[in-house]
Amino acid sequence: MTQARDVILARLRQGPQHPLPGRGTLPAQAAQTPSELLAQFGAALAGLHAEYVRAASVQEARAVLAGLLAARGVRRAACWEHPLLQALGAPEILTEAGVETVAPGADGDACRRIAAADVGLSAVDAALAGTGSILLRTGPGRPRAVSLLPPLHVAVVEADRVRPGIDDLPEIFEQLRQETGEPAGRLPSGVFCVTGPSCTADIELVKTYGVHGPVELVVLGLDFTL
Amino acid sequence: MNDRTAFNARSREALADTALRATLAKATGLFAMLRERAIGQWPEGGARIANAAAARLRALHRLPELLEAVEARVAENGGTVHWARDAAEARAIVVGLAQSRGVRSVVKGKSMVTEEIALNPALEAEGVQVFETDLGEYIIQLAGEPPSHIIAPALHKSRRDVAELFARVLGEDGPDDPEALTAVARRRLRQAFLDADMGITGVNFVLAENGAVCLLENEGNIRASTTCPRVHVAVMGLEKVLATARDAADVMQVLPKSATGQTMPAYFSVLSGPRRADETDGPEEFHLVIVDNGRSRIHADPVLRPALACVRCGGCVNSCPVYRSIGGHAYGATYSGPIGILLSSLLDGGEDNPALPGACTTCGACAEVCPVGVNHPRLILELRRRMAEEGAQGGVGIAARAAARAFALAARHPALFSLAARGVRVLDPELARLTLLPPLSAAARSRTLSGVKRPFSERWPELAKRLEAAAKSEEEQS
Ligand code: SF4
Repeated sequence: MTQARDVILARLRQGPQHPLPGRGTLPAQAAQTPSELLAQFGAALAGLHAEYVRAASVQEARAVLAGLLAARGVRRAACWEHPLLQALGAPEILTEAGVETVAPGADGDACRRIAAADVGLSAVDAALAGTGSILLRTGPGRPRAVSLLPPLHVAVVEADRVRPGIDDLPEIFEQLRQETGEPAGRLPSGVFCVTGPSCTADIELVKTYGVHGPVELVVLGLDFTL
Repeated sequence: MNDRTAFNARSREALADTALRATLAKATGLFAMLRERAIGQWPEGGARIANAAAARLRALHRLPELLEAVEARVAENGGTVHWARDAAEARAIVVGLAQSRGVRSVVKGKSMVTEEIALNPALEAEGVQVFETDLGEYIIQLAGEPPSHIIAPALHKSRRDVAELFARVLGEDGPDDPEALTAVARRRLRQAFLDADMGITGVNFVLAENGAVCLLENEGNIRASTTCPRVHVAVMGLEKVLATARDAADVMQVLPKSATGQTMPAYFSVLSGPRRADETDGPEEFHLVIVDNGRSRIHADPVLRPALACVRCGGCVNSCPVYRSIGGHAYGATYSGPIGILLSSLLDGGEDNPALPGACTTCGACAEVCPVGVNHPRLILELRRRMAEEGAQGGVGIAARAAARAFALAARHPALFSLAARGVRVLDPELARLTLLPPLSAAARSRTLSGVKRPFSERWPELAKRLEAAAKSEEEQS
């Protein structure tokens, strides 16, 4: 093993030396307000076969969540333990709707349980207006499978979490590192940038949704401060 | 066997398959159109490509240092790095991990490098059940075929083919519409994800600054393969490194656009080692296998190193007139299209593919679309030149030398080349064939010429004279 490593690295060190090409600068983008970014984000999502719902107050946000549960006939939900979802009263909304909440459990069977849920509820750490992407990081109470295995994924995003686009990814990663108290050079175990529902075009190039991940993605944008 | 005869035979077969040609034309045309809309017509496109190319070249020029950083960061993240000099070592590492962890079944995300090292048969030989979980890969695994395209591995299968396959192999009778077929795969593979002990994926790139493995996909099968099983093994060619998250962002600006026309794929996962102590899902163990298999030789090459910049978007493949005519299987190697000619010739075992450098008209469409600035025709030319040299010393052989000389001559006469690229016949049909070069020579033969019995090398001196004359008159006219 060490032998393979040393041989490979030695071979690579024998390669010719070249000057390192630099990075070109791009024209600066005009600054946008959180509400403008949220609107752009919603428009991008709409082009992605995803549903975007804007809520202007806590009451509206709660009504949207309750409405979704009823409309989709949800009986079982997998829900992140997240301050934003708590503040919206998501656990109470689920109870009131008679929805059973799945506990992932630490016994190695979390995926099986979460896969049995009709909906996964998560809260977004950052979003990209230009691409309609949401970013979700791992951590305690935030199983990865919640945004992946149930057929419906509902993600809640606050307006001030929306950034312009792909160029902001490095700063977002750095922000997530700091929020989780990781040392420099270490990210949370998983950061998932999700753009629309799961899809494929592997059979005759016909676009089909929900091949392995959610068939449906609903993003609830909170255009107010809690 | 993948010598010239075998290659020409496969090309002829592919060219005679009208259904395949129609599928290829539709698929490559669609991908090329999506790419053109997303990046070709993007005002920033050129500047973005320059930045992505620079990020890849910087990484290649600092490769040993960055790989050591990757190794250190992955260890800090709680993962383990393994190094493999060749395919056999890589297989042994993964099979060893499977055996020592009591792995009975594996779910796999799409990965060209695991194709390259022929991992599946090695695992299956040890009694491990392997599920390819990308829908296209799943289909061709059931069919027992290799992938035919980097991005769309089952490009060559129609919905009817897939429905028949599912009925025959899985006993799943149902309608042959893509949605119903996709639902069958979802149901079957969902169980496989939940039951699997190990998930195996490739790597789009790993970041030296934090050891994060980045994976791009649309289906969610890679996420499932790295979420459900208790062990995650990621296999990467040693060139798949970027220094920083900034460099990753620069590549992300162009890679999905170039591959499928999307600004972002459905899932871009950034994974840093196994799950942490307080998490309830994700792998308990993470292993990164770094594979050489000839890459360090390409890296050491004064001319060919940029071939390693490739981020596997498939853009050059879709743009290539040869690929569009014969499809991926005719290449008889893991990688097809312009980048495939380079990789399949240069990686370990490349000497088995002497016909591939001929499978290029040097039309330049590939270099025009590459999001990281690979200049395929220039590199393929260099390959031909070297093969000709070796041939002169009794190496690869006289056929390669003659083809390279024909090529070198034609390269001096761009007018002939543009004719070849457009597939227009010049007055002399045999010259048309010559300027197209193998395997398009096979294409030309099957459509326009009766078989010529004398070997190419014998006919070359005479052909060269005619070619020179034709080239001269072309140039005078233009
Ligand atoms: S060589 Fe360039 S165009 Fe071809 S697959 Fe690689 S990145 Fe894409």
